[in-house]
Amino acid sequence: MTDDPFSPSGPDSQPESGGGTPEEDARLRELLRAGSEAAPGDAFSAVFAVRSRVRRGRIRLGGLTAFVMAGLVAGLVLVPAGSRPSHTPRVATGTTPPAYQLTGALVSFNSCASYLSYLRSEAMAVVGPYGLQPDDADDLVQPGAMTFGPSQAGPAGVAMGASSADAVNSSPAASDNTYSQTDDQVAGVDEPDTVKTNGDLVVTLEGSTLRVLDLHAHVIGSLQLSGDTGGGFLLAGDQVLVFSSTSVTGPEPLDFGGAYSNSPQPAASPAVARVAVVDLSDPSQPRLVRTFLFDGTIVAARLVDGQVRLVLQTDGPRITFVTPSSTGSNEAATAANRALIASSTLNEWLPEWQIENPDGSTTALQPVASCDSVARPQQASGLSTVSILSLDPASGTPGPGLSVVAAGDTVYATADQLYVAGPAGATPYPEAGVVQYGCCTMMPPAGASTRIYAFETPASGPPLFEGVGSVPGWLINPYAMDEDSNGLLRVASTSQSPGGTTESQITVLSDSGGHLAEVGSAGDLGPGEYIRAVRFIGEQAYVVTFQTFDPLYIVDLSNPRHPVLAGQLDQPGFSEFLYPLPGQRLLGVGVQLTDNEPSGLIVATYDVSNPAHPRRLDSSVLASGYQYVAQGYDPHAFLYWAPVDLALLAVPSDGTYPGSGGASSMYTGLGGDSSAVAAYQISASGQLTRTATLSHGTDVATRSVVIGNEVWAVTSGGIMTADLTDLPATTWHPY
Amino acid sequence: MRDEESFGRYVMKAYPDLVGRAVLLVGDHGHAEDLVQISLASVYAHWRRVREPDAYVRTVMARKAIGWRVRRWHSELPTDPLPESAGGSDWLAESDLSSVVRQALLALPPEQRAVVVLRYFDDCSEAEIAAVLKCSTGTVKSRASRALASLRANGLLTEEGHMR
Repeated sequence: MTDDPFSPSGPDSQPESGGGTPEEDARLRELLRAGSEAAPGDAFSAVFAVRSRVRRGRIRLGGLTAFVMAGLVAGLVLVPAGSRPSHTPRVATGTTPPAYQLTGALVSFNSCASYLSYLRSEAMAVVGPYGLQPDDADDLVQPGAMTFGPSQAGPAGVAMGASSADAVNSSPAASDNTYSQTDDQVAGVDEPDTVKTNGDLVVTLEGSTLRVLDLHAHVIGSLQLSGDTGGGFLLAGDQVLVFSSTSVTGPEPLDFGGAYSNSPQPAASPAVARVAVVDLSDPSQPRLVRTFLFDGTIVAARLVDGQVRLVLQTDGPRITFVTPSSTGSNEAATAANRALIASSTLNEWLPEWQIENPDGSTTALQPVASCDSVARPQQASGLSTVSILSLDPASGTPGPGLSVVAAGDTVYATADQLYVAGPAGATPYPEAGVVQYGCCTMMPPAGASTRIYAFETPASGPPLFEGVGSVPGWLINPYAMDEDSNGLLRVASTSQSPGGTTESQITVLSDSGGHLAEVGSAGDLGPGEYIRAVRFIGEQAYVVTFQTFDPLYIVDLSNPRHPVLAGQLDQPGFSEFLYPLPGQRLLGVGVQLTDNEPSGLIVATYDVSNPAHPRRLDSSVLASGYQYVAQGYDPHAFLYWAPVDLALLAVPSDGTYPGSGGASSMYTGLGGDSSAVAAYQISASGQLTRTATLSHGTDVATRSVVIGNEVWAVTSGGIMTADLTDLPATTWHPY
Repeated sequence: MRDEESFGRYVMKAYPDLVGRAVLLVGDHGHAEDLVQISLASVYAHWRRVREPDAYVRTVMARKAIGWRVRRWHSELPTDPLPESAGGSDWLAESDLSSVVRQALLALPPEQRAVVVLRYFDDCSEAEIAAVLKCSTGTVKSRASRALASLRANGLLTEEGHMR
């Protein structure tokens, strides 16, 4: 392997001693080659498996939740603590006693002292020679430092319901231009993305460069931001909020290409999330106003009526633990770390925020939530803290937050509700009996369940705890949750029985006195398979499961107490993305299988007007030899423009392997370029006609929006536009 | 999304090799895939900063493999180093030799096993192994020496040697 940095390259590279005779060494090398001739494994499934694990946040949990005991969620009881005006915020500040004392499944801390002593004792139970990381943890991996990509931010999608007009905004301002945003899961609940428009301006984020464009795709202003801005941005009036991950304070890039030294590994510093506020009141001069810094990572952000809601996860205390390499022995390191926990202080545990001014100065740290606004599940759920808070973009102070000592990784939000789902009592890989084999290694632990915390997020005032419930197994993404018109939460999940068999189910939860109680469920979907895509549309749930075949299940939820399987459609391959088209049709984007091998990206339309007999109307190969459905993990890469029945799909490939040193075209069908936005005209009968392919060389096309009469393909190097009435002709506007 | 895709393609390319290495580290195919996937998930967290993914994932794998037994053995039979039934039918076709090798490796303590794999499979220097395993080069040497002695005693290092 030429790129193997471990290959002999220096005087130090040959084993000098401690080895065998040259003959023995040679024989051992040969034997190891033989021993490594494993069955190759299913790399294709592995990609999904790894992705799932990343999404589930299991890797980051490490020792932090290793001690969690599985448990049932008991009822949550709200006990009024004395009389109070009915509109008194439940979040108290300072020493004011909480208006409610939470007991049952969620327990409030009644004082900072009880909060601190709880966390200290929980931490003491698991601390070891590497602090709160498991003994074998690679300290290359920083807890909570997951790449903050769209899938973490909460994939966005489309407005629900058959009314495709939901996806069409018209400018409330003077402009009478028609335009699209990229789609959101819930209409009116905007999700961070890399392109936004208010009808007068278009704002894009490429790398860490924020650009303001006029409606002719000319750049009129730009701003270079610091940090990794992979979290996208929100546009609220004249304010842009850019979400960044933690690279500013994270460990330096590790260069394994160079020689190993015995110098200590860089210490993993606690994650810090950044929210940069940029003012666009003069679009030619975007101005950085301030940057909010929060302990942890931002799981999701939503914009509703000018208010931003943040879901923050903070992993463990901000304590720099020692390791055996500095103390000389595991025992000494453990003892030192125990002492660090015993003497840990409140501000090392409570998630905090501060403001970084453009001149680099910072304000004092303040807690995101006061101690009495923190709760813990009755069943301990690790040392991570999930916090909900609101942020007025014009304000220099976040609203008071609410925290739960638990992990949360999947967020679904409506205009006034917010649901955070996370592993319930689940132990991270590989502690539990999670070892499943072959194809199904992506499965969650047998018996694992997902806990869902519900919060009310009123238009003004702080968020309120509402309830907690649980469903079997785990959720694929935010689309696995959906609130119906009566406020019932429908959840699609895949679970695994102790015997290792998987199945998927729909569970309907209802808030009854703080407990999200199950009122109905439909199980046994796709035995042995797992959910690849899910979409709730009105009273139907559309669920794609996959092992080798693609059943598209339709579950009728018109009676939420008795959901029933209404019909199914089996076909080779599978969809990873579903979208409701008008006229009771569905669009799916998925992987085409040929001889059970993935062979390309495919777009298909379905007639679901008769749920008992869904049928495929048409399909088209989007790109041969390509198999990553961007829309599956990044629904913003899809846009349906209802006025002219045009579906726009980005194929955001850069065409390269890491380390391969250059682009290699691996697939065909994108007009010779490695990345493109493909436009499909969809006829009334569901026929798909490829009308344009918007691309520019090796520039990576990530998004498409419609501005006036033009389709814009947003790429890494500029904007490719095409007139809707003159497809496929395109015009290139370089940045 | 670009990260996700380039990561996906890296996995597609590197997976078989990584599973092969993992089999040496943890003994059977099911555990091996699990180890690889867990390690890849860790790598993914830093994907855009990882310059040498192969090296990075191997380091993560070696470290995790050492903790593997500690965790697994609580719930598995310590007297049965080869979880025979775990694999699944696709794994029955393994050759006798590779099975013998894996069985011999499994008989080693995981720390020694990791040293053997890094040294003889990955051709790492002792300094590199020390860095990967976060121990001294002296420890690497002593582990290697003890591992070799065990393998020798098993007859693995001689052509005629046969484990039974």
